[in-house]
Amino acid sequence: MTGNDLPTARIARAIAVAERHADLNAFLSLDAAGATAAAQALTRRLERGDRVGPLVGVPIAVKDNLVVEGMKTTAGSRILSDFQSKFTATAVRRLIAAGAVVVGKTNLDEFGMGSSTERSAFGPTLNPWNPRYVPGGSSGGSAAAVAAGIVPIALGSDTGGSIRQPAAYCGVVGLKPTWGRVSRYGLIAYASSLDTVGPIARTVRDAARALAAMAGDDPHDTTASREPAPDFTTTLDDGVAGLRVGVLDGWLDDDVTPGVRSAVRGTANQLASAGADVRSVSLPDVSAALAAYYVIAPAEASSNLARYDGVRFGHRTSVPVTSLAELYSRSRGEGFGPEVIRRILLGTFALSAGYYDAYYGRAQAVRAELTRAFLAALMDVDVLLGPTTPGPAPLLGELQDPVTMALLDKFTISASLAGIPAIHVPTGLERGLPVGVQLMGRPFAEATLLKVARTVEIHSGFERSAS
Amino acid sequence: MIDEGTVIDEGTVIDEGTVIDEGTVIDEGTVRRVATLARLELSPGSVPGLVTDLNAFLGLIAGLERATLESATASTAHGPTAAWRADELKAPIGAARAVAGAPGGQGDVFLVPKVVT
Repeated sequence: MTGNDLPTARIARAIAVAERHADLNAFLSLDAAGATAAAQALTRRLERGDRVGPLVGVPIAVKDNLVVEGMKTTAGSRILSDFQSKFTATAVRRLIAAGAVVVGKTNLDEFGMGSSTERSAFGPTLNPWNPRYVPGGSSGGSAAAVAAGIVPIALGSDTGGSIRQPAAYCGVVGLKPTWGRVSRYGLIAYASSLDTVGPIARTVRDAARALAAMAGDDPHDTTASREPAPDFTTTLDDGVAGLRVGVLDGWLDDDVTPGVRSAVRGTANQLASAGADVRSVSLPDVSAALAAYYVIAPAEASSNLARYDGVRFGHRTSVPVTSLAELYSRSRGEGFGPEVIRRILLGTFALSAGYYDAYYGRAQAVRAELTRAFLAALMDVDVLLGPTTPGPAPLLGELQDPVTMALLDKFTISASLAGIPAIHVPTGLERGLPVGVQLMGRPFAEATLLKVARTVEIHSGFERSAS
Repeated sequence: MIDEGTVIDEGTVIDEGTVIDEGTVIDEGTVRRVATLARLELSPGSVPGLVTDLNAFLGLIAGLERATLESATASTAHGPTAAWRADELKAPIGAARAVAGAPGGQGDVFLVPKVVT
């Protein structure tokens, strides 16, 4: 085999590993033929001596709420079970332009609403570390695909923790960029003021490479930032000497497991040994953030999901109806799963006349206050360090109660509301399952965040093997 | 997923004292009204479970009330400050008036000419 054959070999291996791990249900669709053809095309370009991108031949998986032309996009929902997009999401298109090859679309909680990937209409994904446990969610398929060694990089989306939390449960790196850093064009919207697209990866370096390829302005998304996107890989190994790290000690008083507490404390000590100026920082209680999130996200969802009515998009009922209103409501009632119905109802309620001042208005005020507090704290320190999750992954079926499930996201929601970048880095195991830490940074300071994450990765010595 | 064995009485709040306004309770009638607004047909058996779940979420959302706000200005986080109108109940204008100017109608909706044949 020559170096030119590398793309073909890597894609063949990724497909073989994916098929061997079919029982994880990480993928909703695999595109062996399309990926093989793309790899062969890359091999021909290498043979011709054409210029190729930095991710040439890297197999990637894409969460099934990002559209890819020629492939189905279900968003994990029965309502979109037959949907095919006419275009490809900007984030995916840019990774392909950099040489990456999409091998398949990954499982998720329906429309991103859930924290375990058990809320998919197509069955749960299992955790590669132990199949009795959930992989987290909603990007659980992407995190499992990376943890199982199928792909080194997978795309996820994060609205309240849906990249970072499954990354934590699967022992991989998960980066939620600053809101607006990566175009949302081609992302099936859940809560647009919170939705972000980002990488889940085996290593901090791979996350940096993926972000560098995806970030930047996009004429198809007016909210995509024009902030220049540096090459996030060049400063990765610069170390943390002189950087100020604020530890969210208050979040450790909350009921976190001993493994998570020692992950945060141990990381703080290692960063101090590596030359960082580590200090304690206090920020608002997470319960207010959680409350604001469960008003704002459902409110936006109730509006964003109005388009799935059996006419514009989605499943149409086959039962004869007598009016358009009945066609809409029956198609939607048949197509949406219970978690989506709960959140649409909650959002519609919070926005209804007589309630929106008390709920939506108040939630937006809490969000503004929380954002101000985080940005103020980030004036004094370069990054914030805290837990990503209260503990390691729960058992499959353990999270029947929707409010209990919501509490798993209590440490990730604040960065989503504030729009700031945040990353999960695995550091160790507790009861044989991965745990780690969350780092949060200033808007558009992903380079700093990644640099600190790389230092944490080096010092943790975390063994990245799920099998 | 929804345990119909845990149906609560109409008007019962899961965690008393944690709702924003003690008068705010989601009952079966509210669930049905909101479902109509959201154009969602609910299976009859799902309503009691939804009452339970939505009231549990109201308990979670009560954290808003406990939040201390230094500057209680509602704004969207990333864009220009939104303009807010007073949250007042007003009678809707009614379907007949809303579609009165349409070239053709059918019930509550107006008809448009067929564009794609």
